[in-house]
Amino acid sequence: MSDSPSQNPFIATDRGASLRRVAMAWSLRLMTGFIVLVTLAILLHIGWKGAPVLFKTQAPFVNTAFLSKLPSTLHVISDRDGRVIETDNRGAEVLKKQLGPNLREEKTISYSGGGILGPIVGTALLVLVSVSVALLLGVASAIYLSEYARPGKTVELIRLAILNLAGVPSVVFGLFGLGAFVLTAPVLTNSPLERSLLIIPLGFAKLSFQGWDTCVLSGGFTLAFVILPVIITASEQCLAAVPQGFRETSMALGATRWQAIRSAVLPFAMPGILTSSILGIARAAGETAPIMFTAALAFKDKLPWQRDLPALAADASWWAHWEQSVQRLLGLFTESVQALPYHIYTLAARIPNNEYAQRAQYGSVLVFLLLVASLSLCSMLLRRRLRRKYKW
Amino acid sequence: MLTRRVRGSWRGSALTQRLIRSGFAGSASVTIIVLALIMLFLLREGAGFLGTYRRELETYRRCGLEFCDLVDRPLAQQEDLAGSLRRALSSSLEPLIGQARARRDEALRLKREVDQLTQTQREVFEQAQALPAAQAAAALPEATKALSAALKAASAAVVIAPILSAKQATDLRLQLSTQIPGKEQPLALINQLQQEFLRVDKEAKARFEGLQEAIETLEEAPEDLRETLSELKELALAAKEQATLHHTLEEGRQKLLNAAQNARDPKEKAALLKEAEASHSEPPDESALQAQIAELREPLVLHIGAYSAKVDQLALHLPEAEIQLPEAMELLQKTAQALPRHAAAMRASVPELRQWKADAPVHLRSVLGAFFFGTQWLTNSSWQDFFGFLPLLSGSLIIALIAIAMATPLSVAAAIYCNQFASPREREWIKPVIEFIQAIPSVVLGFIGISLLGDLLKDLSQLPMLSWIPGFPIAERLNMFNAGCLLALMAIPTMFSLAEDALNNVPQAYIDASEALGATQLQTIFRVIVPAALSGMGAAVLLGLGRVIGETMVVLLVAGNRIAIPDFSDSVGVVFQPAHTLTGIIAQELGEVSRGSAHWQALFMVGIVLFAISLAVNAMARAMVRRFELPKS
Amino acid sequence: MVIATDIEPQEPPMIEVRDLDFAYGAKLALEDINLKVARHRVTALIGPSGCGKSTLLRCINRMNQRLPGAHIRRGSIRIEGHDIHDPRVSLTLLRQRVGMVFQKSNPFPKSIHDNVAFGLRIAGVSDPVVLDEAVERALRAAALWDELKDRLHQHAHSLSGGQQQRLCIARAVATRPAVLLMDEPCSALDPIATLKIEELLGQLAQEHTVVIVTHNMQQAVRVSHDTAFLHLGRLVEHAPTAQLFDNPQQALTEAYLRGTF
Repeated sequence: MSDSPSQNPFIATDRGASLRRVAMAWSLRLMTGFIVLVTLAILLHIGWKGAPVLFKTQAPFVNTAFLSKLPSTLHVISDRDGRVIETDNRGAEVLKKQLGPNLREEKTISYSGGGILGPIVGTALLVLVSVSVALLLGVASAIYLSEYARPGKTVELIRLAILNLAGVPSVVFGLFGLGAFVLTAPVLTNSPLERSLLIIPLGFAKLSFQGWDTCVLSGGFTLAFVILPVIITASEQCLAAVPQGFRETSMALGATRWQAIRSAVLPFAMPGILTSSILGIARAAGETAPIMFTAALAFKDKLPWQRDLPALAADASWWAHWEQSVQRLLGLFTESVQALPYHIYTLAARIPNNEYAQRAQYGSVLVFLLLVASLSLCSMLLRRRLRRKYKW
Repeated sequence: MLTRRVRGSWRGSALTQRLIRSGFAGSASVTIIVLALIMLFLLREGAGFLGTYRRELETYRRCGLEFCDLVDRPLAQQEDLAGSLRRALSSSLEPLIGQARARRDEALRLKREVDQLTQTQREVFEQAQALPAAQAAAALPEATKALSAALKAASAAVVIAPILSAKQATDLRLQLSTQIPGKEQPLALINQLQQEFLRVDKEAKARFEGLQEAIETLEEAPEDLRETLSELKELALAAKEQATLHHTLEEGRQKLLNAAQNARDPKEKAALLKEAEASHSEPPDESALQAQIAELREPLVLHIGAYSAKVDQLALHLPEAEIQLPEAMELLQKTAQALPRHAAAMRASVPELRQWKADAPVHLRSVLGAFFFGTQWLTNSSWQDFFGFLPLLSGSLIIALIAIAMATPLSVAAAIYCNQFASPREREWIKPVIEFIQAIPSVVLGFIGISLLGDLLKDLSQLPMLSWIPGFPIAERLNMFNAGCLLALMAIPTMFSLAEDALNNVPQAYIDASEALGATQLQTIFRVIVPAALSGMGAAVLLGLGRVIGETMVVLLVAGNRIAIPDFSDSVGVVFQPAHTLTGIIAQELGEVSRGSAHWQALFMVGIVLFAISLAVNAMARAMVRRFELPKS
Repeated sequence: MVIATDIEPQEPPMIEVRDLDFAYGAKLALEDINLKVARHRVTALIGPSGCGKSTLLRCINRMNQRLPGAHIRRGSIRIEGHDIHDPRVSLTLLRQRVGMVFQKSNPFPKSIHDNVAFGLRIAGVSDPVVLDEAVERALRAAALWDELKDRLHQHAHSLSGGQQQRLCIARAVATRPAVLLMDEPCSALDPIATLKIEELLGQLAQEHTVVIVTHNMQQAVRVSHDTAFLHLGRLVEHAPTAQLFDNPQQALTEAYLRGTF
């Protein structure tokens, strides 16, 4: 049936072309593979070096002390018998007395002892504040953009603002947070500071624009604006994915716009919005620059609710006790905290590098990465599942 | 009745609807408000900079510091020149004396190592010695024995480099192991090696007398000049101190006066006014200083003339004949060329000195120039703070360029591969991994740069087979290239997904048309799809650039934080130098400055510029996409 | 089904479809097609939508083969007597002999000149003189030269819809294909632009063998020499256009033409 190549003018074996194709495909594949390999190598390196700090070979297999202690200065004491003992401040004093002249050498490594409970709690608080604020504002903006707004100048301006906000460098957000929340935000107080921008007397107290100082609230609000564009964009996508028919059906039954949104749109969009907000959490937890001047401390030997308050007299009224407890609880928001990313920065840049510091570094980095990565992974997987589940 | 109720409720609900609507609209406009607030707060903290810096520069001029710098700046080069002559000398000496020195150093190292290995026993021995005589008699022999044994074991165990001959090695081992506890003397072999080194060194130096002399001449040439200059500098500093004090007092007084004006209680007012009066200070009189400067001006000019003549003379008489080594020759020739330039620069300062006036006003234009084109970012200096923007900008730009140059080909290649070549299964793997990079916090990547990549690069740069790369071997672990690599990794996910979107958006119709004309897959990809997606990819690169310039933690941790304009003399090797960046400087310094100072305001100015850059990059990316927008398919 | 083929071409047929069964995966799209198309004639493929006329057209230059699962189950297609589904056939060579114009105009986002020269460039022609000549010839063939000769370096998307479609025709004929396939080329155009292209078809037939898919019966009458009517993947009738429309041999054809389907 088939004719010979010499007869059929369409037959040609261009070996060069197929070779070129294979060569191109492989070189592109190698470059892609390079990216993937580098990423995996970095993750593996951190896992390899951090695992001995975080995990143990005996039950419960996790180094609970590392996760449940506050950071402290590490003392490494070696005696003349060649023993090397690692201990904290108090332990070092006791041990030095005990050893007496038998003490050979003492090394102190800042921040590297104890665990990382303080930074974990601080990051959790910052994330809590920032995600609550950002979700509230973000979902509301998304509802406006996708449900109410008609295309026009205003919407275009808002979209432009979202785009630009997403591009603002994080350190600029830090400057903004410092200027706005730390130094200017309004507080209720009886004795305003000198730097207060504006004082409005309210009778029972004064509203003074003197800022919140460096605290969880300042940092959380700053982070909220960092993740706001992410949340708005994601929420809008989720709202847009709800079919138009749902709204029309609802409105045709006489529901007002808001009723339609509440009953026929939000319930279907909510899972998606919450899933995407996990991504916001990961982002907020990972940012360092915005909290450097607004919330984070390099070192703190207390948890935010363990505030130092004057001891109460034995016969103090229940009111005084209650007041102190409230103050301690408020410390959750009004105290500055340690945060994981800032702790890592401190460990990596502010102290000399040695094996003990490295242990603390890799341990913190691994915990941090596991936290952030599992959040992003969750969000990715959940989004994929949702996409499969809600196919309208 | 019924209609009214219906209408009433309808009206009420319409109002509610409108309220709900405007509530949402309000929160949507939060983004606009936040952008405006960012601008506002940056300006509030930073806008005062021009005024403050202008005042500082005025003080700098009025108190004569600027006058000193007119001479001091060009003079600074003299040390570099002397340094390069010294380097020429030492590199010429090296082949002659290197062996002898290495032998001596090896012997010393071995001694130290043995000492270290026997430290515990030595400590025990010393303790025993310190005991009262009766107890010592019991403990000492045993400690002595232990130490001797340890010495023997240690001197047998150490590894001796082959630079020492076999005989020297055995001698050394023997001498090390037979040190007598308590009566240690310098080892004979070490002494001998030291002597030999000194002899060789002396011989070698004798061959380079001319060069040594040249170095001495250059080092001594500016002595008179320096003396006069430092006299002037002291005067200037004292004047500046006074001026600063006066300014502080004056500011405090102004504050008190303001408070007094606002005070309602007359008693309080009086107290405040009194306090203000107390802190009154006379503006310092600078006429004495001016007279001093005028008096010293001519001697200074004379010294400059003498000094430049010496330098010119030296340039003609550099002892080139003595030098054989090519690298030393190169150094010498470079110095010979630089010396006349240096002399000319010194002479050029003379007319400037003559024209200089203490009371010339500092224009706002020159303040702006000093910020945007200033080559020095110098803070907490005992002489004068400068806030020049160029060192930071150059660091940021070079790092960003490195990152973009690396990330662009990689992410575009990955996007093309994923979009055109990869099997669905491969795609399912590659895309999540690349997207996952986004989830790695920047501080973690910075940490990787410190703990892993820095050492890796440094080790790599020491491989002899890579020595052809300019800048290798690298001196600093933390440098711009290191930071650039990590930032490239950070930019890849953004650029990859945007580039892939751009490829996806190329209409199928183009691909059909191309294939119908007989194009092969490669031809379709590279002549139709990629060109059509080019604008989208350009936007991807721009947005990646914006991300890279604005990134803080990686550069803060990894870029090396040296505040200086990089030295471009090594062409591409410049990337292996450390630098500081716009973002890094804010993160590093803002925590340590007081609010309202020029330094604080300067950092906010940097923030304003960063903000402007990010807006500009966004606008450019949008314009690029819009300009080449594909028709809606 | 008996197929009436009243046209017995004198010379060997340009396109010959023999016993063709074509399937998308398990779904048979074309069944038992036999068709001969003579040189330098315009053949219209008509039929209700989904009848397989576009599929048949796309089989002729193998544009279908990119779709997953699309394959020929039986039979063959020959151009000038040569099997085009031979595994050794180079798609590049085939498609240079068999050009195609699509339903929607799809000029590349390049200049007019680059659009027309694209086919030659990918075939390896890089001599600017040769390219300029070919561009001029192709644009003349598409009756565009006089309109566009001064703006060859303008962007193709600056042209009107009808001009864009004629540009696509020029692009297709630039490589001097023997066969020109057109897939409803006027369906997205206004009547005036349609008229221009219809006028063009007669001229194009002097150098090319044209196969055109159309859903517009009047157009088929106006432009084609022969017409083939397809229904449910089968070729019902193939005859000179006048004969098919005035005197259809098959009841199905008659029903379709009368609109009593």
